[in-house]
Amino acid sequence: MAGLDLPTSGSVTLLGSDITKLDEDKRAQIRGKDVGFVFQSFHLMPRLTALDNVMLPLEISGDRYAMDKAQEALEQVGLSKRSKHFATQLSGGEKQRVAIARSIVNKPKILFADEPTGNLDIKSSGAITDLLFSLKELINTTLVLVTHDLSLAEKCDEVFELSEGQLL
Amino acid sequence: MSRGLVYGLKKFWSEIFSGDLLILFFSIVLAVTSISSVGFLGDRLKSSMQMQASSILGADLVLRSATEIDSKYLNLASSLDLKSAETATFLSMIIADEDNLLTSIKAVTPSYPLRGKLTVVNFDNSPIQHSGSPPQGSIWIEKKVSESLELNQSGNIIVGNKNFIVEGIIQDYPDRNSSFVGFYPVAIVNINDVDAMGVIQTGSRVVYRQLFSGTQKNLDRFVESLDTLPPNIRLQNAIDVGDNLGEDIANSTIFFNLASLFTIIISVIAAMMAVRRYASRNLLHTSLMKVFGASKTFILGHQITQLFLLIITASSFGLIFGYALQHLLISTLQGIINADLPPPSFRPVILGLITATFVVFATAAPYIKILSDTEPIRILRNDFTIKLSSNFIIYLVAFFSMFGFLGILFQDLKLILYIVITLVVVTFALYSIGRLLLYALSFMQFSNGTGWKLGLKNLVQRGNESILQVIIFGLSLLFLVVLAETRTDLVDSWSETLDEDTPNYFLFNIQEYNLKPISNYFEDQAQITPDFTPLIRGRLLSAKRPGSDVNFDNLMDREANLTWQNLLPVSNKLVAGKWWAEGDEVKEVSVDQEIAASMDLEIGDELTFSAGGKTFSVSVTSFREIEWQSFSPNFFFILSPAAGKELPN
Repeated sequence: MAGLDLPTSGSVTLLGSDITKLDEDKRAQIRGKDVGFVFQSFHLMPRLTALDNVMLPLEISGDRYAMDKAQEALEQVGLSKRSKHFATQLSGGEKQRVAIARSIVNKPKILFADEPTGNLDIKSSGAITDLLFSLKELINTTLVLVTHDLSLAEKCDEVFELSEGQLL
Repeated sequence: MSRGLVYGLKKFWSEIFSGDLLILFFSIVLAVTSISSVGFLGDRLKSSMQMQASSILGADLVLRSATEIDSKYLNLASSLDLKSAETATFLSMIIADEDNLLTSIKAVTPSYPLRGKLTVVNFDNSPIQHSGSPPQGSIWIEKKVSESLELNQSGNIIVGNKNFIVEGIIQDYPDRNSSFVGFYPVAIVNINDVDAMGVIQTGSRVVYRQLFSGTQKNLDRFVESLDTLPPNIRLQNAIDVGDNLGEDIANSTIFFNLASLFTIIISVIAAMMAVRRYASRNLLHTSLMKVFGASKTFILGHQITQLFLLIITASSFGLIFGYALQHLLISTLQGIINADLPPPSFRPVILGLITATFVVFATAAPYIKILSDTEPIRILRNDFTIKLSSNFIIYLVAFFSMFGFLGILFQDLKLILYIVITLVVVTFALYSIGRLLLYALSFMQFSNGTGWKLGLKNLVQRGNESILQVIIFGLSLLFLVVLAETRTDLVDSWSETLDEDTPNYFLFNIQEYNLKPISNYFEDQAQITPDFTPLIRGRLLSAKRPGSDVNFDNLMDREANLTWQNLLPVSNKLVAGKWWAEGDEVKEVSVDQEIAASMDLEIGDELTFSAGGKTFSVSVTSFREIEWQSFSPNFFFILSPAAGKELPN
């Protein structure tokens, strides 16, 4: 759905474009401009600071105000004081907050979150869920969640259930 | 790509200090240090050799002839911005009061010498002149002349029909030569006095030389414009002389070359491993960048910028270290290199940069491709491994490009081929040993192990990496052993090159009646019996192939020293034909194989020489390979005693 991979058959239309007909660079363009991602394993760059990690999508698109926007995103996730810390110096919950800041820094039209609480304890998990849903409202985006957590699924407006590759 | 370049530029230092690029950085520093230190050393030695060679010739380029040389060459040189000078050297008796002395008279133009130093002093050693020619009517003489003729400053001497005033003593001059005039004391006169002396007549033996100097580019253009020289004019080039001089030094730099070659191989292996680690780690970064919108060209721009900056910074460090190491090498070689070396050219710097570029791109280029082609879906799959099959191709590419590059760099394909074969064989042997060891270890129980047992367990678990380490460690040891052996061999061969009783001095022009007294003198004084070699200047007049009307167009067009002896000299090796038997009455000659090849001679050809006022013919019965560095008198032509006995010596 997010254009990271191509289906073996059928087509996927993302934000009005049939991404199955686009090459990888064109799909990357759409992802860079209008899509945000949050992953289960956070996937922060360990050698970069929290701020640098958040700046990554904007630096790729050549945004001149990348640093200011990244600072703002970190403030929105409540981590402005940890901006100079390296990813390895952060707790699991903090890492996911940085990852969320990175996913919203380009103000995406659609935000994909793959098991965003899968690697977190219950307390952090609740906080991250609240953060995700409040940010969705704040930046007015569509949140697409993939989860095994039914309580998390219940918070969504629409739920689709997949079992053994089939939509139920 | 430009965004990728900017991103690469911004992230370079953080990537370096993060450690992944650091090993690659050090590998390049090591390779560049190694190649540039040898490069700087070789370059400075070569320049020094060429300066010395120019000094030996008194110029960069010399035209030499036994007859007067056309002035058109001087005009040509002047049109090409070359400096020129002329000399004419001949033997003449100089007379002072009632004494006389056979002297080598060197008549020169005011611009002499073009290279090297001419130092002329007063009789009280105060300096007069450091180049040029004496004014007309004046003469500069060597101390030997003034001593023999008991001359004082401003004394009068006569050469031919001309009176000269002694103006100074020659302390030093370049272009000393070993031709027939080289054995006599020297006097320098102005070339405009030659006619007034009236000593050069038809049949006089004179060496005419035109000297040229200038930039290498102009000298090359001059040589090109010369086209084909008349056969009586010989061209002498300082570079050729320098190459001969530098041969021994060049041999010693082979050791350094070998050391730097091995260093480059080790650096490339280290770089390959570093790049592999860097690429594996960077797969996450690259995949993430792709997820966040980076295109393939962005990734390429980012990677290429980083590697380019890496080449620049690591090469700069490598060149600084290389220059410092070269200084260290020169200070350790101070005893051998007894000269102020000129500064190096830019060649080693360029060589260092090319080496760094090669090390980086031979090892990293395939990984850059893998990184730029990586799929963003790897992020969701948590798959950040590079397939072994792609590794194999990468290693193969790196391996072949490394040897291709080394072949070009060292211009010794045979050496490179030997090294490739050795590397392949040793790598295979080490791989087999590693596999066997791992196989044996796999039978051991490590379940309740601690310490060393855990270490062994780890070795088995990381089988391929363990074997790779065995191979690299083994190869490094092999290189060290080869270098140690080469060093010992080199030192041995140096000490074997010159015997303990290698002569320091040679006596010339000993008459037959002097042989016994001289022999007795040396036996009394130093308990040694000198070897005497008969010697006569001769000219090859013609060659004939019995039963054939073949024309010999390339006959040697100058005089050569001839000798005759019973036994083949120790420093010569017979490569064709037969050496004459003692007491053989046939007139034969043995010829140096190189000169024979240049004249298209074959065994059985008949050569006619003119020497000592006689003309005689001899049959070619053998060819010899001569070891010219043997410090023994060596000859292009050795006559059989039957041919030599009628000649004066």
